[in-house]
Amino acid sequence: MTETGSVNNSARTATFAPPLSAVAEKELLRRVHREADLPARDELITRYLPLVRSLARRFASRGQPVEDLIQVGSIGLIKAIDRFDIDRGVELSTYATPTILGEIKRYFRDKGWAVKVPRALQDLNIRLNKVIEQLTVELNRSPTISELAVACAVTEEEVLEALESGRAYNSLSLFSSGASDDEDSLELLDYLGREEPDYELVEQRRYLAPAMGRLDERERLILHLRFFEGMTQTQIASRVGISQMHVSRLIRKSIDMLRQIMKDQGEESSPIS
Amino acid sequence: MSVTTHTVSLTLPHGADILPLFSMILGGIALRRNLSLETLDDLQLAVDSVLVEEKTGRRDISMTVELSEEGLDIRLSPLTQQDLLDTLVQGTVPPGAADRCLDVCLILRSLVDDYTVHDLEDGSYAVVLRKLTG
Repeated sequence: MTETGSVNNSARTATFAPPLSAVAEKELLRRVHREADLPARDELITRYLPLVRSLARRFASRGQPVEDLIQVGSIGLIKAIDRFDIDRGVELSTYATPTILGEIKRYFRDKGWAVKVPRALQDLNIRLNKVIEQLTVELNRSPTISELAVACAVTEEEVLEALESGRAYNSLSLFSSGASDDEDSLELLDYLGREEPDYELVEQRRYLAPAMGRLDERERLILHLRFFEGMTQTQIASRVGISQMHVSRLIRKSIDMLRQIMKDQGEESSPIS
Repeated sequence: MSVTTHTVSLTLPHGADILPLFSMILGGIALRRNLSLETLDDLQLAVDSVLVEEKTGRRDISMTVELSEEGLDIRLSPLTQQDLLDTLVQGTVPPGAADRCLDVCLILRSLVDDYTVHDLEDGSYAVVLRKLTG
């Protein structure tokens, strides 16, 4: 069982779920493993997300958005639930903790080079985000690097460096407004349209990968608009009410997630040595 | 009609860390050619989408960019990843690879104007991405 869907949505509601009793937990695990009961699995994921949050926050000072770490840790949690041996006599939390930590550490290892972005470049990146949006409206097209440099009063090379570091840093979480890590601030996803009449079409057409069904609905929408409808980033940005830079990051992030999901599935289906 | 063509070429060791360096080169080219940010982003994502499949490769990777008045051709070689080759040649992910491959063709068609695959003598292959900018 490799289902990883609904991690994002669950992550946002998990705080309110009370802890399970040992008996209830055992029963849920039994249903998951003996009856392939997906609702029971979802229930376990939701109940254990506070553990993921707690573990993710340990890494909060290392330059990656906590919500990203929670997403990554959630994948570890799902792996732990799916691989848990109900006959071993250990608690799920005992088994899941190293798996979640391992997933988060692997994420840092993969992103290791990215967290060393100098503060000045991060600041310029944030400024660029706003200036790109302004210039796109003013010029009615995507600006050039030279135009951005003039608008920000920096060199063209600095613009390029900031853009590249911004991508490397991958600083915007799908659940971040981009301006603050404050949990009470508006989440980026809240800016996106709730209803999308054409959305169902995504399911019936060619898809980027089977794993696309495991992305959040709005992530799929953006990929759909870009790769199936042929809309430009600027057009998508206008449609969903976010900046072109956000669209760019979300597209990349969604593609990365698709690859990661497929990679995880491949590893899970391989024999354990 | 005379056509001015310039070539920029870079060869880097294999591994995931090469991708940002290729992106930086494309950024420099976009700057000199006065390309829009969105065009640059498309080019970078197209190159990334091809090269990410070679992360586990063991050979140096070259990116050669030919700049002409019409646009630019980005040649990536030598590539060895068989799933990517099959996908690009068939124009879609082969049925047997659907659980491990993104539909790179779909991505590339949205990002560049054309792409071609070329067999190389040693059994590897090259991918050329064409973007019209004129």
